[in-house]
Amino acid sequence: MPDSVLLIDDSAPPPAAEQAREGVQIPEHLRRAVGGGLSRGAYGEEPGRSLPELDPAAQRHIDHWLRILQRDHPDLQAHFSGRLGRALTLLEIEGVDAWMTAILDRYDKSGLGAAIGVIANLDAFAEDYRARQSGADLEELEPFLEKYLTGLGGRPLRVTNGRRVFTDTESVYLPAFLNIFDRRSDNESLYKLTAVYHWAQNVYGGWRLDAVERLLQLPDLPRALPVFATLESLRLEARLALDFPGLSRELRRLDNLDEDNRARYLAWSHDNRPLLQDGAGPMDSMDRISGNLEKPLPTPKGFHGEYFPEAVLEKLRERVKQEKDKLQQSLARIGREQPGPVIAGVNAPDNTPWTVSGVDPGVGFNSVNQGPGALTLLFGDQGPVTDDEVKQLLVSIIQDLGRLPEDYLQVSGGYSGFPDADTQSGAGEVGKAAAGYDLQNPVYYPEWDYTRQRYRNEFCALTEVDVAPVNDNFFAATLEKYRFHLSSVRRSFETMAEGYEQRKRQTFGDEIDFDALVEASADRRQGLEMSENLYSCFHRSRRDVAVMFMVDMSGSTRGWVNLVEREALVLLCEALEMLSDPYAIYGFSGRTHKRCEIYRIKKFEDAFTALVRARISGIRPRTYTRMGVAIRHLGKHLQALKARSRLLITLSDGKPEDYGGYRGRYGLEDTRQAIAEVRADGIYPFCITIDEEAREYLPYMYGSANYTVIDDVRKLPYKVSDIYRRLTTRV
Amino acid sequence: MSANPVRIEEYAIRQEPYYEPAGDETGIFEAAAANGLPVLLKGPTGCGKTRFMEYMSWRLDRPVITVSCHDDLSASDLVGRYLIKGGQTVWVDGPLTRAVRSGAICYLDEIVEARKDTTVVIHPLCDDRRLLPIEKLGELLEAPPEFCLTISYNPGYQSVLKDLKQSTRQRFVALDFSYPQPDREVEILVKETGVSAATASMLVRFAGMTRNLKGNGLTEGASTRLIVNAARLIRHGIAPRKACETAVNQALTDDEEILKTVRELCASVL
Repeated sequence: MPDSVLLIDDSAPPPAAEQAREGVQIPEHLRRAVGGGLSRGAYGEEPGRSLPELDPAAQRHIDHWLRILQRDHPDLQAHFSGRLGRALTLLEIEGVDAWMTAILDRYDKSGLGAAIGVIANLDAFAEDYRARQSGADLEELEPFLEKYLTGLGGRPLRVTNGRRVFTDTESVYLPAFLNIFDRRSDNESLYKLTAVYHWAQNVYGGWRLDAVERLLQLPDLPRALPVFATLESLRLEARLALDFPGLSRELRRLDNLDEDNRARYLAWSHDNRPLLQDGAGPMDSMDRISGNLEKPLPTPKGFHGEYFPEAVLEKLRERVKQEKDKLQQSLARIGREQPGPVIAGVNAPDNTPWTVSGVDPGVGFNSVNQGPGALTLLFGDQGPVTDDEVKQLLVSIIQDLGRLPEDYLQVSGGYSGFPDADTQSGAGEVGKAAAGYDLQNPVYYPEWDYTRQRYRNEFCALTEVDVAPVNDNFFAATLEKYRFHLSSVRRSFETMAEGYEQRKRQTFGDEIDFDALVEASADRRQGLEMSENLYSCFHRSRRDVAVMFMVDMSGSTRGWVNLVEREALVLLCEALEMLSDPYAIYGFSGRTHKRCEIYRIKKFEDAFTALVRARISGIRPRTYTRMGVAIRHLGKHLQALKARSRLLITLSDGKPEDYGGYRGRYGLEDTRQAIAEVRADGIYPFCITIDEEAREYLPYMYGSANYTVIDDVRKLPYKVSDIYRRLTTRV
Repeated sequence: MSANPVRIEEYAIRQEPYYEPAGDETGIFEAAAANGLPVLLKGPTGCGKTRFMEYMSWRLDRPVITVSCHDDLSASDLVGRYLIKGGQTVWVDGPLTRAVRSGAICYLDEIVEARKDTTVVIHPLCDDRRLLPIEKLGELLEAPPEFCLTISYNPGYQSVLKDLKQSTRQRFVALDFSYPQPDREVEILVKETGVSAATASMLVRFAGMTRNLKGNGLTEGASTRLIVNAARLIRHGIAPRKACETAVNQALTDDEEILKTVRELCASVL
C-alpha cells in the first residue's frame, strides 16, 4: 500500500457519467490526469468508444472505480481502462465489480505488477467468476457438512480439502470447488451426498479393521478394488435408502448417470441382490468379488470417490490402540466417581462391573443417542452412565472393530492409579490452541476502505504481546496521591455492588409496608381512597456487566498523558475490585497495517495481582494509533464473554492516525466501521478522550452520546471511575 | 397470590397419566417417599420429569403442588406471607407450607432458577428433622409422613450460576433421567399421540440426530416433548417436515447455520 493517500475531493463536480450519453465515458479530469494512457489502453481498446451501453447507475459505478484506481496508481487505471470494454462484454456489472475488487486486493498485497497480472488475465477471471456463480465452495460448506455428519451419528468425521475424494476414517477429503451442475444448490447437495457416502463407508462397517485387513490380502488388489468399490456402493446405497429415505431420494436425483451406466448398475444390483438386504456387510461384498471380476464395471457415480485401504489401515491401527487405553482410563475415572459399592453386572466378566448394551455388530451403526444402535453403558446395577465422551469412544471402537472386545471393559489395576484423562499431557496444548492467538503468528483483520466502500481483506496483521512489568513505586505512590479521592470512589462503587434492595410501597411483596399501611388506614378513616401500594419487596439489583478498557499507547501520549492514563487505571482497578464485573485492560499501538500491536495488561481471567500492577506501571508510549483493528480484535475478546452488558471503553488522546494513509477521513471511517461492527455484536463502545478537538469527530465515530471529552488532562484519574459508574448504572 | 387459594384436593391427579418407566425409578421413588426422603430428579428439559411426578402423584394417591421456579422466586413465595384484606392482615400459606400441612407432594421444578437464599428454606425439610420454620408466624411445622419434597434440575446448563449447591444436593435421593431409549421413545410417541410406529421411528431417529449436535451448535437436542408435539401435528394432518420445522427445528435454535443443519437432518429421514 502506498504511503500517500489522495483523498477524494467531495466537493468535486458530479461525474460526467451522470450526463446521458452512449457507452462509458472517462471523465475529462481523469483523462487529463492519466494522459495518453487512457486514450488507447495497453490492450488496444479505446475506452469511451468501444464500450457497451450502460445505464446511468452502472456508469456512475465505473466512474467511481476509475477514480479509485487513479488515486491508487495511474498505471493501474490505464490497464483497467484498457480492458474495461472486454470486461463489460464478458461480465455483468457485478462481475466487473468483483474483478475490480480482486485487482485491488492483489495490489494491496503484492503490488502493481501482480495487480496488472489480474487485469491481463481477465478472460480466466471471467470464466472462474461465472463458474463460481453456479458452483459450490467447500470452505463455505465445511462447517455445515461437519455438523451434518455429526448429527447423522457414528464417529465424527472431519471434512477437508483434498486432491482425491476419499476417506481415511478420520476425514473425508473433498475437492475445494464443485461446479458439476448448473445450479449452485445442486452442487451443494453433491458435496453433502459425497460426504454422506463416505460417512456411510465408515459407519456401515466398510472400514472395519478385519475387513480392511482381508481386503489388503486379496490377490491382484488393483483389479479387485474397483469391483469391491462397486459392490460396496450397491450395499451402502441400499443401507442409506433404508435408514435415510430422504437422502436416498437425493442420491438418486443427483447420480448423474447416462442410460448405459444406469442399465449397468441395474444389472449389478440384480446379480448381487443379497448385498441389498438388511444385514449385508463388507465381508459379503468381498465374498462376491471373484464372481464379478469379469463383468464390465459401471462408471462410478459423482459422489463415489476412491478407495485407499492402505491409508485407512494406518489410521485404524493407530486409533484402535489409543482408544483402548483411553476407554480404560475413562472407565477407571468414572468408576472412582460412582457412589456406593460396585456390584458386578449380570453379563459382565467377574472382574468388571461394566456392561454395554445396544451394540450393533457392524452392519448397522452405533450412536451415542440415536436409532436402534444407541448404546447404553451400565456400571454394576447403578443404572446407565450418561457420559457422552465415553459413549462416543465406544461408538468409535465398535465402528472400527465391529464389536466391543471383552477385555476392553476390564480395567486392570482396579479403579485407582489411572491418570485422569483431563490431566493427561496435551490438555494444556489444546487450551493454548483454543485461545486462538499466537505471539509468533499474527492474526489478520480486514480494514474498511471508505473510498472503495469495501473491506481490504486480511489487511492488518495484529499480534498480542504482554506489557513488560515495571516493579517500581508507581502504584503505591498513586494510591497515596489520590487517597482521599479513592475512598470516595470506593464508597460510590460499594453502592453499585450486587445485592438486594428493599422496595417500598409496592402493590405486592414479601412484607407489609407498615408505613404505607398506617397512611392508608388514616386515609380510609378520613373517607379517602386507600392506596393499594402496601407491600415491600426485595429486589435484586443485578450487575451483569463486563468491560474492556482499550488504552491508547501511541507516541502522542508521551509525558503527562501517559502518566495520567496510568494513574487513572490504578484508581479504576482499585474501584472495580469492589464489584464483581469482569474487566480487562489492553493497550494498542503499532506502525502500519503490517505491525499492529495489542499490549496485554490484564486479561478477563487475570486476578488483580502484583504482576498486573507492575504492567500498569510499565505502560509506555509506543508508535501510532490504528484504532479500527484494535477495536475489532478487542471486540472479539469481549464478545466471547457472556454478559448482558459488554462495554468497550477507549482511553485516547486524539484521532486515529498511522502510517500508510491511516489518517484524516480514512482513519475515521475505518474506526467508525469497526465501532459499527462491534455494536452489531451487542457491544457498547464508549470513548474517553482528552483531545479538545474531539467534539468535531467523535460524534461521527461513536455517536453523540457515547463519548466524553476531558478538558484538563490532570482530571483524567478523577473522572474515569466516575464515568464508569455512570455508564454501568445506566446500562 | 390469592387470599382464596385453590383447595388442596384440586391438586390431586385423578386419571392415570401415561408414563413409560425407564427402569426402577417408580420403585425407588416409592421407597424414598415411604422413608420420608426427598427426591432430586436430574435430566434435560422435556425428558419426562414432570410427567413422572404426575404419575407418582397418581400412584401414591397424593396431591402434587408444582412450583415452577424462576429467578425472582423468594422464600415468601414458597412459605407464605401476610396479605391485607379489608384493613386486616391475613396470613396466606405458600405452596410449600400447604403441601407440608396437607401431606402432599411438593415439586419444585427447575430449582436452580430460584434465588439461592430460597433453597435454604427447604433444607430443614430435607433431613431427618422434616421441619418447616415459619418465622413470621412463629411456627415450626412438622411434616407428616405423607409429605414428600421433590426438586428437579437440568445438569446440562454449563453455568456456575445454575449449579446446585452441594449443601442442597447432598440431602436428596437422586434419580437420573435422560432421554428414553429409542424403542421406548417410539412406544411413547405411538401411545401418546397415535402416530404410526414408522412415523414415530423416524421422529425418534431425527431427535437422536439433533441430540448428537449437543455442544456442536445446539445447547440441547430435541426433547421427547418436542417430538411428541411434532407427532401430534402430524396426526392432525400437517405434513411431517412442516410439523418438524414448526415443532422442533424452530424451537431448538434461531441460528440460521444450525437451523440449516437441523433442517437437512430432518429431510434426510422424513
